[in-house]
Amino acid sequence: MNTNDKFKSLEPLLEIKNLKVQFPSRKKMLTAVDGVNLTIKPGEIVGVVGESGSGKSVMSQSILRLREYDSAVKYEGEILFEGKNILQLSQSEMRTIRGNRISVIFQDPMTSLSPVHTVGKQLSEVLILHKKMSKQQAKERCLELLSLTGIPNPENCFKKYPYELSGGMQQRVMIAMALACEPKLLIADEPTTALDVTIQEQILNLISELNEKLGMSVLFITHDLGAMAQLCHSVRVMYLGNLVEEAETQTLFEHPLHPYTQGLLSCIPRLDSERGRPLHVISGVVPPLSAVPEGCHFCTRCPYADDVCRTQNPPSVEAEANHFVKCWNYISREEVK
Amino acid sequence: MNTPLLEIKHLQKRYPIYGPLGKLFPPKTHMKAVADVSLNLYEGETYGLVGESGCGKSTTGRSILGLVKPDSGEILYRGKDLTKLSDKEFRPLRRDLQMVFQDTLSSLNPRSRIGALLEEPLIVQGMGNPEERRQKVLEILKMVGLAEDHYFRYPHELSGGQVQRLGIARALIINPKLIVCDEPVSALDVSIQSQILNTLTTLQKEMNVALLFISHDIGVVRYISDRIGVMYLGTLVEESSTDELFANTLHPYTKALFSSIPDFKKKEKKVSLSGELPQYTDEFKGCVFHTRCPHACDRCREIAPVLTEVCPGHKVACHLINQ
Repeated sequence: MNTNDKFKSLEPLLEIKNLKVQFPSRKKMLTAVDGVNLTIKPGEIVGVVGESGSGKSVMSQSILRLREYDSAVKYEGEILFEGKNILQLSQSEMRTIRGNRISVIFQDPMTSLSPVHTVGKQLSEVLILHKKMSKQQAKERCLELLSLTGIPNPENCFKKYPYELSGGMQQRVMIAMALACEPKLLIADEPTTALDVTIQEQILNLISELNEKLGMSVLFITHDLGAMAQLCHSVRVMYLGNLVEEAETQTLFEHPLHPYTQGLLSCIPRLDSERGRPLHVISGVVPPLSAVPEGCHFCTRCPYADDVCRTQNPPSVEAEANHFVKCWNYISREEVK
Repeated sequence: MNTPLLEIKHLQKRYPIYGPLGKLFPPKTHMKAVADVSLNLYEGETYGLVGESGCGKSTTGRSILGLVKPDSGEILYRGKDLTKLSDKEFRPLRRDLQMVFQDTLSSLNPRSRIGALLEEPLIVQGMGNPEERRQKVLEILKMVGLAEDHYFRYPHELSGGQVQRLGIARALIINPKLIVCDEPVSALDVSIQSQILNTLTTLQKEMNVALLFISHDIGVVRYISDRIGVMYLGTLVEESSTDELFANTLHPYTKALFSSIPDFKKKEKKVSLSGELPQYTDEFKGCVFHTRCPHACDRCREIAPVLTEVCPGHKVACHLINQ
């Protein structure tokens, strides 16, 4: 509980209020993110976990408004960053935030780096643009950043093209680039999914080290519950555009409340689980966005679903101290009527 | 133990690396994808092959099916060396040896209906008449958890989990003796992954087929396998029964690999590996792991250790343990 207390008194750095993101399809609007509330305090690492299609990446991309090119996307709600609503900023104001105050690391470093420019050129570009540095200054800072992220020979790496580096090294370059302007918030969208476990461990250690050293907040998005447990202070579980559970990391893993979280945790073959028994299964599949159930979004796969669940989407309630869950099981039935 | 179903002996596969002028000159050196791998598979068992990307686990699996032609070594199935067979001679043997891929969708003809896709292996192997084949297809659809009305659908209409079920059905329909599963659940979400793993293990017991289960996910491999082989840089560094391997981990790489898996509980101090995989070329000397091994000594840098049995069924390739 101590970590939570540490962050409780602080003013939020980022506050997402009732965010709704919709994409048009042929027949109707599809809601990818449906009423999400999320707060990140300075220095906190917040994890968002969910299966594919749960809307976790769309949510993180809307913080930087990376879907801007797609004019048909509809946003509702507010994203407050240091008190300003990001969704109402102009393009040029947005540009001073992107890569400067908030940066992002993507899953696939190879496709996020430019293949026709050297690592050094791409890295210094950020500094020259945002910090108005000269080429020489930028180079010095770049070498500093590259060694900070644990690249063994920064001088050498500076001159290389991304394809000459391994996946782990490319991800380090991405992190160096994201850290170039000492952002207040780092969005890490599945940063270790494409990497091997021994390299993943190195990258996770690096992120948590940098979080301690530089005091930046991290929004860590993943589908890997193990990686999440290693890194995050608090965790949100996302399912079909809803945040269904929110708790401190340890509480969530030791004592999950939402049926989805419980199912998710028990269907992973763990190193200390008993062998030879059939694995726990969450029956069915995630419904497509065009067929999101009317009530609780999880009701089609939930073992405890009843009529109330099928007709009304539950509000998020604080079932225990600092442990929020979006499930009718934790709301007394009298209140429903 | 009884005689193995399949024996792999000293399998080696190298790829040439050319200089700046390409194939104009002979290759500068060779990159070893698989260097001297030997393993046995027994009837009805599940053998898990784990390792990081580029360690040669897929190449090993693919050479069994003849999808990769190895440079040297033998793969013996019922006394026949599979590496020496022509395509025509191989075909009847594919009735016993099948494969499930990671990305099944791209291995299926997008213009064929599921019924036709499932019937194809039966036609190729000349099994049954049309009516019998149709019955067999409907039966296998039910067995892997698909519905009969999937018969006239196309593969793109299925979800990721269903496509993987289809891949398993296509491998199982001709009653094989061995299925090579190359990362069959890696692309799936965890809730779907557990469904597929359950289906796979149930069907395996029912049909008594051996599985060579290739994966980088140690949790999954531990769950499904009877025996596990750990590969690093084209070499089998440790092999043992699953319980023994986890209770008594010997090789320093295996130890580091196991401890680097993020667990739900925060661990205080872990054995962390520094550095990355080196290039395994012809010039590389010594133990494959010596560049990253915390205990490496001079001997490790010079001489490659041999896979030796330290206790019954537990083999390790490491100088420090073999002494």
